[in-house]
Amino acid sequence: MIPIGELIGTWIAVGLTLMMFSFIYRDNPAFKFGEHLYLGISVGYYVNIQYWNVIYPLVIQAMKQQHNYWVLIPTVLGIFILLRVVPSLGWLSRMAFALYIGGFAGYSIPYIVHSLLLPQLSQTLQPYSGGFGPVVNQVIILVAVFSTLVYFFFSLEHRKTVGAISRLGIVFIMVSFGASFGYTVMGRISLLIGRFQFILESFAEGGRARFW
Amino acid sequence: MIFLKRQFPIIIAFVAGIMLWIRYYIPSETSNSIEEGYLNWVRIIVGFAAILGILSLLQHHLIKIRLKRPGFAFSYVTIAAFILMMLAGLAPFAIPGFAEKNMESGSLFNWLYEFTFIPMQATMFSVLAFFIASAAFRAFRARSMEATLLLLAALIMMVGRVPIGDLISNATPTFQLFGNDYHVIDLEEWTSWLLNVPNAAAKRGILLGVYLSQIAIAIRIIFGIERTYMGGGD
Amino acid sequence: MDFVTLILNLDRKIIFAFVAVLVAWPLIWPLALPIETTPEVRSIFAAIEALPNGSDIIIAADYDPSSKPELQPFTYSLLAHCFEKDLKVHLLTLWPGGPALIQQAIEDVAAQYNKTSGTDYCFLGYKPGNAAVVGGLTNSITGTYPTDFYNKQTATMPLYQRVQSVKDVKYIVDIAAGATVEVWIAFASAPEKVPMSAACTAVSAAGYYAYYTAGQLDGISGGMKGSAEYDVLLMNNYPTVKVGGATRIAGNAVKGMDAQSAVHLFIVLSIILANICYFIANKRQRDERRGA
Repeated sequence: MIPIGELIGTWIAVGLTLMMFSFIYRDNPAFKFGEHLYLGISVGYYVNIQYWNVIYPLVIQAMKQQHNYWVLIPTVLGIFILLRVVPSLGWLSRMAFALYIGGFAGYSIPYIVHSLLLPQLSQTLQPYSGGFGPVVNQVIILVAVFSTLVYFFFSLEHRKTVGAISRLGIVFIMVSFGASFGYTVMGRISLLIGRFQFILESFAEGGRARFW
Repeated sequence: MIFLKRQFPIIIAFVAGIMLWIRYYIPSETSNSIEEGYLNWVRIIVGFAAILGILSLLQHHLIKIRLKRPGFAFSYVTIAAFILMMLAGLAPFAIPGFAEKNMESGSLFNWLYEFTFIPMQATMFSVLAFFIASAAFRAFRARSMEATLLLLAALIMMVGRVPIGDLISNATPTFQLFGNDYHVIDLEEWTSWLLNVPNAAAKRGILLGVYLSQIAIAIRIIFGIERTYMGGGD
Repeated sequence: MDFVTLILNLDRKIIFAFVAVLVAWPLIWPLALPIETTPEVRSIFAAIEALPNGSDIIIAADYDPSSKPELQPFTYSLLAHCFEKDLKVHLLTLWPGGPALIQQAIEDVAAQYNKTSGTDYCFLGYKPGNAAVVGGLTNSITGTYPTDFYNKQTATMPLYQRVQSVKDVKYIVDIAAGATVEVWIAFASAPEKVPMSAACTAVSAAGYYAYYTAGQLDGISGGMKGSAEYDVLLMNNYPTVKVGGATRIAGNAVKGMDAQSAVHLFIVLSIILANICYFIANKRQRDERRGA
């Protein structure tokens, strides 16, 4: 026996799924209703998530249990951010953004250099080894990385040699975009499969929408 | 006042940026505490920033209702759903009919998440499948060399990464090269090469450019050249 | 109207109908096409398999319901794999839409394997700020997450008497719907030298090959196909994993692969057909102009 809450819930979920699908035919009141319901539910959801995962443990419990009153500083800065909705006090949010964005700019530079930029560069210029096939691939990679970089380098006019290299760059970029596009189609279809699976399984033998 | 509004934020950004940059190169207890303290503060600040987005969205719908703009009736749905979901999670007791309170499994909040939030969000994104299929059919043409390359790579990827691609490849005849057996069409092998060699290399070229520009922007922010985060006004 | 003009002016609703039928048909009447695994996914499985029993792993489930069909099956399979090997799982998310979804996965799988929160695993929940969270974990896990998702103190849990920070875990897997893989590489995996893999949505998979080929990722699982491959590997290596009924742990992504194949084949053939018609129409136009 399926619990009544799950049974009703599954019917509602199937109904909402069909409501959202109705957009394929054209924009209509059923879809509009679903869209606005989704907006309200999601906003209420995010308030809860931010409260129970951030404000409650990091501010309220930190003060109550660990007597850590330093958290009042970011809390005040956080409230400054909320004051953006009041035009005359909006400037206060700059303090919070300056600390967050300025601090993060400095914090991230060494990580970008040491964890991303240098490893990616050094992997492009490895000693050639592993037989004919891998060496050919390594050469292609080197040429492709260099020509792609040249394509995006706008300080030089793309004529003669530079133009030829950048045209080679576009070849690799297009192949790469093609691969991404192929994968994108796959992703979108998977999401659709997921919804169809949900509807079909809800009504299949043992499904949660079956009361018969 | 002008100092507080204009120069002070730039000073904060400069001091915070330089401190957190240098701390990486001076490993010590102090630099660890600076990092830990800063990151903890950021998590709290970002939490509030997320609520800002929520507030402006609600403001938009309240204005729509007040001015009776076209479709304002739907805004009531948004506001009602928001209040319901918010109370479901924040109420300090279990809502009648549900075993648990707040965000626990068995609560109204969890029920609403599972049976409204998940289906609506998932369906909204899945609808794109129809449009991407029709767009591919109507607009994907081998008009130029670049478009042809993009098209070929996409076609190989689409067949090569799903089970049907393996069936097609295995059905084609084999030939020998350097003592190894190869299929005339080996979509799995082709996609693998496509992804690991030209695709990875082009992506790496783009990424190197992205990293360099991220570093440049970070330096501009620290030294107060880039100030877009301050927003408009005086 | 001849065939070429008909194809070039085809109503998009006909394409929609084809897509809908080709998705539904194989789901109702499965074709059971065999799923071959790729080296990218096999290396994730091998990396987890190579971890000593009882070691610690961070699983970051950074996605929300919009990518549920692609990534939720992977989370189920990976959690089952970890529990089969008795790994201690530190589960968290950087996506605000994720916690309740991941809660379902961990509660389902932990119940199947009789695992206890705080001893065998910990669902830490969500914290905002991406790099501010990942960077924080390299200093202290309990400092970044003073409480778990259920608001229980983490510092007193048996799990965190051994594990202080990312340095103490043996592996990281990011199940990502967005750009969090870079964050994990930059702020945790590379600086702390903890190996990692990524399971991402198909949309972002191609982009991560730059990290895979550079050795910064052990493996990549792209979209529902990657999840299906992991399902297959898990089911082949651990035949006791639940694959049927309502309590199914693995096999969800596998069931979608027939529909995926059918729709892909349709899209590829339709693009080829549309291009042939496009060239014929172009040639006709040229001939007409020449004739005129």
